[in-house]
Amino acid sequence: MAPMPKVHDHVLLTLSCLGFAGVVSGGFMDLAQNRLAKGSAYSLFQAPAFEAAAAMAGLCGLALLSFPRRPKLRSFTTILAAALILWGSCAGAGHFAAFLMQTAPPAARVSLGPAFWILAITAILAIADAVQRGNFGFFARLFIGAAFCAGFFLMAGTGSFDHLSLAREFSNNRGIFATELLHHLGLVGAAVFIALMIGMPLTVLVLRKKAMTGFVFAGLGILQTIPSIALFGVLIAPMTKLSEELPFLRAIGINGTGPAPAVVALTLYSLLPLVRGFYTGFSEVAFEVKDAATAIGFGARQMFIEVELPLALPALLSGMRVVTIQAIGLASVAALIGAGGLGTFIFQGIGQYALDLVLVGAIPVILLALLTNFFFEMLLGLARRKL
Amino acid sequence: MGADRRSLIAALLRLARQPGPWLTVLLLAAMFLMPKAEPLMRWLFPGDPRPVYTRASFFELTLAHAELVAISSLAAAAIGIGVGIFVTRECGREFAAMAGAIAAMAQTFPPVAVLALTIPVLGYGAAPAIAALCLYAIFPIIAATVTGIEAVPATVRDAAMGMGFAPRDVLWRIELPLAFPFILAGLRNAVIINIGTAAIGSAAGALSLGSPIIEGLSASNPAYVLEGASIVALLAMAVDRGFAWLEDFTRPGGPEQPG
Amino acid sequence: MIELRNVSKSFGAVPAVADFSLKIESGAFFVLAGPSGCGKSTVLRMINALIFPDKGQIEVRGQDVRTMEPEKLRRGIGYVIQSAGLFPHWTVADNILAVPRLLKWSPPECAARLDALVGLLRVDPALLNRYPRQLSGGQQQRIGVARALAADPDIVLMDEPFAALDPVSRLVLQDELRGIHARSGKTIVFVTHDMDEAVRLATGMAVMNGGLLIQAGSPASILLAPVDDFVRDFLGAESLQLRLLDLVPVRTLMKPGKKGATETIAAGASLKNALNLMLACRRSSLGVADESGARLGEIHLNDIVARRDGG
Repeated sequence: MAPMPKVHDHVLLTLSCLGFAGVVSGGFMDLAQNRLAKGSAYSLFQAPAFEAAAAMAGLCGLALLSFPRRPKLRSFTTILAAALILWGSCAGAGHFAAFLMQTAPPAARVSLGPAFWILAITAILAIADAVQRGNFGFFARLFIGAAFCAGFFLMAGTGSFDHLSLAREFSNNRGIFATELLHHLGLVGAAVFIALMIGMPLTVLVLRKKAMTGFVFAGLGILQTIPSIALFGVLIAPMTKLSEELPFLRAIGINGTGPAPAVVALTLYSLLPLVRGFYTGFSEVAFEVKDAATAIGFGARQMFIEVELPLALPALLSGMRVVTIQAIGLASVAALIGAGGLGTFIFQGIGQYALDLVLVGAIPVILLALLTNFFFEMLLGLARRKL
Repeated sequence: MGADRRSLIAALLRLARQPGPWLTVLLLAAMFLMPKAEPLMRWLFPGDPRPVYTRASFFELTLAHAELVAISSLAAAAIGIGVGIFVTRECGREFAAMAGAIAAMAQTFPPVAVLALTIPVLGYGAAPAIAALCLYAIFPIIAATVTGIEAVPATVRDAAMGMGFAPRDVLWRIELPLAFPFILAGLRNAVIINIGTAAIGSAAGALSLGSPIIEGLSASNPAYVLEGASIVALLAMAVDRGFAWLEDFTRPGGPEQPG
Repeated sequence: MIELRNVSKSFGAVPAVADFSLKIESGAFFVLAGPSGCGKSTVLRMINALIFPDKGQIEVRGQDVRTMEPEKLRRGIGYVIQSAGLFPHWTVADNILAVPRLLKWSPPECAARLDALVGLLRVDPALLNRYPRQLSGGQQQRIGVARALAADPDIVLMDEPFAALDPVSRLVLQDELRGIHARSGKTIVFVTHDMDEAVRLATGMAVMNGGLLIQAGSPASILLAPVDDFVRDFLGAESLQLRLLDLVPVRTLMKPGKKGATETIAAGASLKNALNLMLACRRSSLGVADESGARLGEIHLNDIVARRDGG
């Protein structure tokens, strides 16, 4: 018997096993007669042959790629195989949905099943791992990401997904989607902006008066532990009272529910990470550096602009990153108190058993968070390179 | 007399600096005495015919809430610590890069979105909520475990190996005890977030302290919202204090003495 | 006691040790010296099977290390590293007793051994319940040595144990280590890049460079006849004659006499120390005292200058 070839990449092998397990065990598509009815599952093997074969070929490719010895080659071909899986499962799902809808009543819904999600996750993880191991540079990463996004939007634009209920929910809500997205960004932007306005003087206070440090951080820390839904809820009563007592607040639209309490709560949550980031940033500027700057005649203003700010910048950006990502997530809870935003779709979908509508809210929230993270990573990379 | 009063004030101040006990007292009071707060609610929300949530007792709700959080967090701790240990062993080192990347990415996922993603797959009720909470909590725990184990100084590990500690001894006697504060901090983070997310889980049909909040919001009954919200907030703060105490208590050599 | 035969080891493409052969006799204080990166630590770590050679054989107490269970082998060999590597979550006493407890000694045995070690290494008993972070560097290293000796191993490996210490603590610990070696007859393998330390401690030594054994022998033989320029350079700019003085204890040139100088020096100190002290206090003679401080005799500058033998 020939000796077993040596596995050089157990991660890929595990991933392809995960993919195979998903394909074998779960439904790839789910066809229900209407929103409320229980659907029946269809496996990948019943999907249109060409795309299904492409996805399976990609999976087999991943399994085989765990054997070659050369890591760089492995990275490139892994990305190709993963692209094949992604294309096969996405195009297969769209094509399959169109096929199923031909014979189904118009109220029927075709949703993506667990096998689809497992395939997609397998492919994305394989790409992430390949990019990490291949030691690709920043622009290579950007290019790979952009290429996959472009491919996805090209398929969406040419109508490949039109018969999937996820796409139908999205196009049904297309008009509102743009509004709610802007609303979401507005909530986040307002909260982060106000938090900056309060956080900066608070940081100065904490830096100047060391005695206040413990007190301020303890207070903000307690605020941070209060669950978002609870803080939103607790704010309703006092803000209602306030707008009843002060007509001018009511006149500018401040109420117990709606965006006003949402922004207040998001701002409160943003303060701790922001002030902590700023505080570590400025307090960790080395004493020797400041001493040297003073010695060569820097004034207070120059010291701040030329020395302290650039050195504190990475910590400041980390604080901003945490705050923004956190606010993006929490803002979706704010839909519960009528503040709007992408959470509207999530909670509407949950309330109406429209599970694909939930995804119309949840997926953009996640993408927004990932995009923000990527953006700040980039800024952080730039800020650190300068040091 | 004066001295008595002064010592009383000092004792009160000491108590104020230790919010754990009185938060717990407040939580218990809120849990059991909420029905007695009807006059207060009437005053706060005049015109509300039934200002106290009665569909389930608050004790029951708190218990259900704690159950959701406890089961999901324990499962997440078991899985997360296990994975963290695995990727720091020789045999699992290959998976470390990917685990780190997934953990970093998953931690940018908003907890609500994770909850929202599990509903289409698993449906409504307590089980999907537990799965979602568990899924969310796994990643910070993996990250904390890996950070903790990697923070063990190389010299300490080298000394242990050189003295004849078997790999299992190194893990149990050196790495895990030294990583414990990190793991505890990760768990604390995850549990606090889970307490909040479990409340949102009521929107998907899990019984919890979120139930009165969600019902109050959909039926425009702000009294219910306030009742549920205040108990959830107290629960989160009390549990957080509990973790803080645990962190102090388990530090080698006891709580750090100032100076 | 320890024998390496044609041992080679490389990490990836980088060779760390090449065709290395060495025999260390029982009871030796053997120093492996060389610049950083010369492979001396690799040799040490192969002796207690922390790493295995690619080629060649290593025998400890006449048995091939590959055939032994690594943990069992290591429990029988003391091991001290540069930053002590004390377990930060264990008290000093727990740290010292790590190996006896691995070997499942009974609590009374452990307690007795702890007492003995505290005496042997002059550990302040007040330190026993503290944690490592509460100790100074010198104290930590002292505990590190105590921990290595805890299970009474006949071999102790030391990897630059004193490199991070201040000069005073280093000298004190070197003296004590030499004393412990002399009294216990253990085999010590000691790695250092510090030539002074090597000469001061070694009964036998080897100089390494680039993974190769350049020269082995007694310190005096190496000092007197370096095989090549590398060894000569490594021995340093300090003159050979001065270094040789470091090898000879004061007691060899001591003369009876009780009058002379008030300053005294220990009988076990080297002639170089004596010369230093004479220069420092501008004297041509010093008193010589034993460990308890009792006066034994005198040493004179003239005798040091007139000394002829090579150590």
